[in-house]
Amino acid sequence: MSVAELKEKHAAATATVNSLRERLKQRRQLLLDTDVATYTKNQGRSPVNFSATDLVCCRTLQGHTGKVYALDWTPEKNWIVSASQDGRLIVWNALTSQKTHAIKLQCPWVMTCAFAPNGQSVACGGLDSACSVYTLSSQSDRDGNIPVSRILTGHKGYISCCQYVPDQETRLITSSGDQTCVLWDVTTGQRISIFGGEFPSGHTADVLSLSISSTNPNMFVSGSCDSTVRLWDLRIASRAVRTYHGHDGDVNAVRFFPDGLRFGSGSDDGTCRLFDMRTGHQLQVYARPDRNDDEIPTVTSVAFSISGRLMFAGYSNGDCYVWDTLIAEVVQNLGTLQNSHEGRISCLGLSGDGSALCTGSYDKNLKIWAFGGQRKVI
Amino acid sequence: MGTTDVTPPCPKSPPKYPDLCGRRRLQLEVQILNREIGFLEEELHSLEGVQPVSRCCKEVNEFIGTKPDPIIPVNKKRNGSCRMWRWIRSKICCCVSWICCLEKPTNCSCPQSKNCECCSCECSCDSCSYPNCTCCNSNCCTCPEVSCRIWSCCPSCRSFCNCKPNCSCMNCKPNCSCMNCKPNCSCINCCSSNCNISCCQCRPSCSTHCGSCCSESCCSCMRCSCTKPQCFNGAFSCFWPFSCCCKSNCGKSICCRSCCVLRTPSCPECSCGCVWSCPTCGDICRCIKRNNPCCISGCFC
Repeated sequence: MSVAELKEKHAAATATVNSLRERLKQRRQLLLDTDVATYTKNQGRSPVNFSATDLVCCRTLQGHTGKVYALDWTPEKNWIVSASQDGRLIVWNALTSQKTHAIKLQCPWVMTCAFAPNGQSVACGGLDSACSVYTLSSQSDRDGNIPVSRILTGHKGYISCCQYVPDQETRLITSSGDQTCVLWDVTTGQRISIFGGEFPSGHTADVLSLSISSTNPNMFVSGSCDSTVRLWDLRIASRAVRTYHGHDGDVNAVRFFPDGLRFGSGSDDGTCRLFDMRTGHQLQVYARPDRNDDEIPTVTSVAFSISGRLMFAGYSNGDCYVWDTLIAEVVQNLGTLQNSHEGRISCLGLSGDGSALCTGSYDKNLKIWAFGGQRKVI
Repeated sequence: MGTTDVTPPCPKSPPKYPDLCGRRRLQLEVQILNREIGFLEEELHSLEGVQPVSRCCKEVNEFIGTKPDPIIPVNKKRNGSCRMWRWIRSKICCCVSWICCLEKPTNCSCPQSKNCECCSCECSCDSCSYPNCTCCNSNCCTCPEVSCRIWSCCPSCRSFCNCKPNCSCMNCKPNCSCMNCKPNCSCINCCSSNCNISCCQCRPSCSTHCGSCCSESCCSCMRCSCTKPQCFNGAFSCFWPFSCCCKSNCGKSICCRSCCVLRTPSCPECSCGCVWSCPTCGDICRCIKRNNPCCISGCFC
């Protein structure tokens, strides 16, 4: 086939792609008969009512000497691992605020960390393009440092996020600046599957975040600088199951809804969105009430309360909004409460039993927030 | 902490599509576009018969509320009939629980009981360790003042007391039989005969070299670190963020000895030796004879 014919085919294919995308958009628009807030308000729901003392800062975890970039809870015990610009992972007993481990990393440029489901190992990754695994019960070396147990190498870009597959200590998923996600066997250090890559149906820009469904651990979603979220099946690495459009900027954070069938996302466009995993529908947009086109704080992190009624969103300006997921209204801003952070909220997460929220910030601290009010019958 | 003098690694660039010029590049791009067309047609086809957004919203609305949420405030109004029965009960000064409990709040999962408290049972409470709380069942209680939870514990408890459901806060003391009720238990007290070993989870002996000194649930001891010691003007404190070298909870002083070099005092009545055996060895041991020039160096007990 000549170059001229190829160019014609290229133009025709491009036009077909654009036309199909437009048809998809219109078809979805026809199905968009309501959103979550409109529907629930019509059902008579009213917003969750928070007083100023209902959510309080119970603990401040101090010890990092650099910005906190990431945190993760153990599923059952109240332990937290945090990663910081100071090049360390710290493991905290959140109840007592004690540091149980301080791990000096071989590469100080860490961006993410995760706890293994059994709470005996932690993983981290960053600019070294590798994911390092540490076993907490390992004997310290002469310098008092825990030696690395395994280094997972293979990514060609920085590691932005890592998460263990629920209930599996030997399986871990990483997301990377090389536009791919990888499923690893931690025991052997081998890559089991690569999601995305040179051929499309994968992300076309850096992948920044991932979340694995708790109800169906074979499914996970990833958020990317290409403004999309993609759904993957661990058993099918060749293509994404679905692509979710809607955001107008980098998707910095994704998190599954407690039912495992929906997920939330947060973006540089300043909004959070709720998507339905199976249908691809965008169910709700959570836009800041003080939206100002000149300077929109970006969303850095999202998490849901155990019931799903609340969505916590951290922003680049230090705000930490508590959204009523159903009504799409902000019911509290942890950034304005007493003892709140003094810098950007970089990460947040709920404890396994849903009774506490931990936030991490550029102010070098982590804070634990819990219900501090009274429950009484009136 | 050391990040300023370390050159960040330069991660490898993301993979680029093969730099094929002209014909081969176009062929590859056409392949990519055709694949994309396939995916888009599949997605368009999958939308046939898919439920509208309202159905998904209904599912979300129904799901939320099926699980109690410990982080959400709940203020529930008594229903009118229960208020009336409570008023009647208060007037006749006797428990007519069988009347009272005929109607329970709709969200109350309390079992049928003769305890009138069940009528007003706030069943979202899942720990009931305040001494005066009335429990309808193991997961449900009404507390006169506060609902004791794992994070905001009863007023009589320490703020970090992890009280189990059947452990009253009064039991959160050295003789406590509850687990994890002594976050500040020192290793010395932890292993004493008065302490139930099942309470403290204390290790019988601390390690003799730098490492974790004590059980994290018992002692406030941090991991010892003898690296990079910084002794300031003869001070015996090893200045390191996570060091427990000089804390008495460890009971071991080898760490500190190898950390710092102490200046030998010249005053005969003062001795550096006591600082290692001082049970309250901290950053500075207070000297009884404060006017003694030796004590100014801050190393004597």
